[in-house]
Amino acid sequence: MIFGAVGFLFAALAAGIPVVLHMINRQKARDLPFSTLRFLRISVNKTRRRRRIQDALLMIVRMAVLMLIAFGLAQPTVTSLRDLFGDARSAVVIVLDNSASMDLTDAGRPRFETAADAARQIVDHLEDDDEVALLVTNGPDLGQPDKPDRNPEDVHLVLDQIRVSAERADLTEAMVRAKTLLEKSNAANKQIWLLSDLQEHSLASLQAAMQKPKKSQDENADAEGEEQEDTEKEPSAVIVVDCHRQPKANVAVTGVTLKSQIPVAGLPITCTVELTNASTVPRKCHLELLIDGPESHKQSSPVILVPPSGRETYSFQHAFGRAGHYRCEARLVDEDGSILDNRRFFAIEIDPGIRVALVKQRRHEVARLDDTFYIEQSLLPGDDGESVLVPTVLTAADLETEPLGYKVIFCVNLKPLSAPSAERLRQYVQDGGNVVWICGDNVDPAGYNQMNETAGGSLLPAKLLQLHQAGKGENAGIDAWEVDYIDGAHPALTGLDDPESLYRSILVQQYVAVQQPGDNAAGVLARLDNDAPLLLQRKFTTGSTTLLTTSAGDRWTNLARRPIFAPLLVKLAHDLAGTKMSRRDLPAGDPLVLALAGETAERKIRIKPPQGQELDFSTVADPAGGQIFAYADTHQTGIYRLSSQQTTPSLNVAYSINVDPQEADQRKTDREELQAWFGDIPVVFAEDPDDLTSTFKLLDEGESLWVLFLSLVLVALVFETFLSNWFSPKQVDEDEMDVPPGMRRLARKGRGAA
Amino acid sequence: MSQGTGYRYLEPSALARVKNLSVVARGVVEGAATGLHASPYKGFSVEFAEHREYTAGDDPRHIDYRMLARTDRLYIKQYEEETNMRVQVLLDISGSMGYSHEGEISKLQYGSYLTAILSYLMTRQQDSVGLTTFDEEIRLDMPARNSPRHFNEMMRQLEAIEPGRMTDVAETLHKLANRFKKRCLIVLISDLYDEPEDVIRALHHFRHRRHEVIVFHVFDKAEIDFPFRDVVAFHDMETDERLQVDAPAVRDAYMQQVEAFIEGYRRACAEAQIDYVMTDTSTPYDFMLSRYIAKRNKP
Repeated sequence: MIFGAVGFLFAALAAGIPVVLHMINRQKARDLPFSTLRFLRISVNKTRRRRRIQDALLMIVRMAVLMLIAFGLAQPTVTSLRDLFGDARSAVVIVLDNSASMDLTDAGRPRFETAADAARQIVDHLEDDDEVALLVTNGPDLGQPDKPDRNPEDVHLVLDQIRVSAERADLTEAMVRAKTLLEKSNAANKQIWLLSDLQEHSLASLQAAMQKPKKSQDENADAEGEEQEDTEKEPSAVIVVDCHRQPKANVAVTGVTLKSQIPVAGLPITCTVELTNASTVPRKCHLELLIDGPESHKQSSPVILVPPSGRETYSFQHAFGRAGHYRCEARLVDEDGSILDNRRFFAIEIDPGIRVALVKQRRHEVARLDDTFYIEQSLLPGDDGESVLVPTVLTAADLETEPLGYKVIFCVNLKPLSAPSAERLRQYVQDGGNVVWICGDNVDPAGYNQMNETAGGSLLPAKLLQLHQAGKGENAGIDAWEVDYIDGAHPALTGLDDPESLYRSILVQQYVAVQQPGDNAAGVLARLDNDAPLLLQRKFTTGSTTLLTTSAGDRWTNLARRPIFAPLLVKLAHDLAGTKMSRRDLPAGDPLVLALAGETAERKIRIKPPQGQELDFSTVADPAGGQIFAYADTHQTGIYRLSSQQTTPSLNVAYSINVDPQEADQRKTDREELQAWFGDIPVVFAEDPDDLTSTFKLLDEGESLWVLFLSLVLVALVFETFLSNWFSPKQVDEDEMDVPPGMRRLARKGRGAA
Repeated sequence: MSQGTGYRYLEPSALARVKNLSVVARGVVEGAATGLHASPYKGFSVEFAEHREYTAGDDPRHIDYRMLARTDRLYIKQYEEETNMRVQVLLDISGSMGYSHEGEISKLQYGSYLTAILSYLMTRQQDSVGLTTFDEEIRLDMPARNSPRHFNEMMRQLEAIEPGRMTDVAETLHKLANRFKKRCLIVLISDLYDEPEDVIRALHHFRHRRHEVIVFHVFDKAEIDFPFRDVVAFHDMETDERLQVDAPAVRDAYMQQVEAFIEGYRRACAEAQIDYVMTDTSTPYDFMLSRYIAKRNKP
């Protein structure tokens, strides 16, 4: 503690005034005769003890008031730790938040600029012997220090290079790192400067990270000596430069969702863009959807009103005319607080069509005699040529050799498959393929069941029983069975159950009975009126198997000639093919990791970032099996394309890297809460982030206690007045003045009773 | 010396206020002359008292012949005699009675005025009045008499009184109680600064001897209100003991003590059928006396 006017400390001697006055008054006591001292003696004895305490208390308060005034006039200030340690060195770690939210314009300039300037001011304020380290929360590694050093020029160089990133900040990690750096310094005065907008999510785990691990009672006894050492390692102070002041109104594109049954050329895709308004006023926005790939396209939205502190969505619709990889971007046209979060990238791969295989036992010269005739007719494009299904006709023998790169394989009236074909088909289903079995004369239930058992039960949805024929045997009195039930809730059958005539007009003369599936097995999508399943489906983790218990020709049923047949097959194919649509979307800064489970040897991967040259990397062995590829430099937002000709099949995928939507959340950590999280470490908040002069002054010279002293004097004076009033003798009640002594007690009792 | 009466403690204005009053004994008193008060002696005055059987030697003039005619037996008529009252004023002249705050009338002077006007009233109604002054001992003892000369002597003695030293009220009262053989009215004028239990016991002694007792408990106004400010070094007027006190600080406690002191006497006197009159020197004695006599004479 230092004093601005030390001379006034002598005024503290005035504290003796009450004592002197007391002594003077004591000597000046009037000498008076009195009739008797008997009552006075008793009274004095009764009040002496209380009186002494009161007198002492009053004396202390009065002396304290005078001393406080003297101290106040001497202009005391609490000095910094630096002063206490004389000319001890300082070690300063600057934690600079350059996350995406720091791009926001705040109080007329981007927050990051404010923070970077503050960092420069801190570095410029350091003495020659002081140590400094700069920790940047995000972005490329610019050579993070392993301890504070005495070279502020390096910090200036780094400050000139760093830019605001599109990443999410983890200030907790940075603060822990800063503490670790300071522990390596021997400086007496250790400071952490946190230059940030204090976003709530970026400090979420700071409390736990800053608290010391609790020790047991035994450990406490042992650790008493270590405690002093720990205290010396702790930072002397944490100085927070809060760059969150008056942010400019901002709307961010925080999400894009794509909805399409299957991403194939010709089918419309719905692209829903989510907008978040972090400001407290409603904002009007315009969105644009940019598509760049085999064909370019641009769409604009009408005016979208985003409510204050709320979200709004807008949906674009687009049908891609050609297959290929598309680089897409949803972006806000209007200018607002930050441009970083106004764009959101996404990649989409459009297939040329849904490749389906139609497998039949053998080819007929007369097409109409083929079991697949009606199916081919249903799946092939019509006169308008708008079908997205691309059917390929195979024979059973082709299953042993032909690559099975199809979304759906229709196995139509096949004899039980050979073992290699069955194994390939099992592998196909395991890898996510979809098999649809259509019965017919060639289907031998026993052979099918054996084939299924060999494949571990993954080829058929249920065990086949015997063939049922209407008008024969036990079904002698039956002409045909009608379809009695269709699961209208199933995506493949949506809309086919209404009107009922659509499916009730189907007549089945022959079908292969199946064992009724259990609860966890296949689902029955259609039934006959004798409750026998007509269409069953069983889904595995990725693939599926479906069974039509009657034929696709016209000998067993009229199904193939009913209006329901073609839409049923198309919808079934779309449903089965569309299950694999997936997106690769990552927040900026997260590593891009691609596992190649089927690869055993090292493969070359070519990566093309949003900007810059293509780069070649090699995969490494994955401990879990196969090869793995990881790429960490994802600081830039945009589309990252990965390709390789060495993988099977060849690799060609795209990743979209975007600003973390959480960065649009402007909720700020409460200062008191932040202060509490640091525990015993004093936290100082810079008054003006643009100009840290007052903060430096506070840290160097301490805080004037003038106001505190004045407040204490005021409180003491009030207390003294209260005490004096409390201790002063009470006047006789006016009502008792006319009552003679000896009757006053009775008079009081009387008033009480009244 | 008061103009008009020739006595210092007998003021004409006070006389004018009390001239129509008379002090009547509540019980019987044993007097030597005929007066206002009932006497225990049976004589032959106008008030019939009772019959007594005639014995040899009785004056035949007092035989009740009507009773003889009715009963055929001789009875003597006896009459209750009205007699004068004996009043003995006991005036405390101890050092504490000399106290007066800021030069006002002292308690002793107040008591003297009271003694003088009481003596005047008693003498005027043919009662005998005596005066006894005391501090730790009896300083003056004038037996009760009813004569102008005696009254004159009493007044002169009053004017000559000076405050004494220590007080021993109880012991002195015991001595006096033993001294007065005939029943009389005892008027005690004192500040009663002695142990209350002892004083009350002494007052009971008077009552035991069938004396009627009136206590005028005299205070100075300052002794009751304790109007002192700041720190004051008091010295006791009887013992010269010194005590420095912060007067405002002890005022409450002091007043509680005084109030308890007065209350103790008031209750004890009421139990012993003793008239207790607390007064202070700021209250005009004639006013106080006339109010007391008016209250006393109420049936």
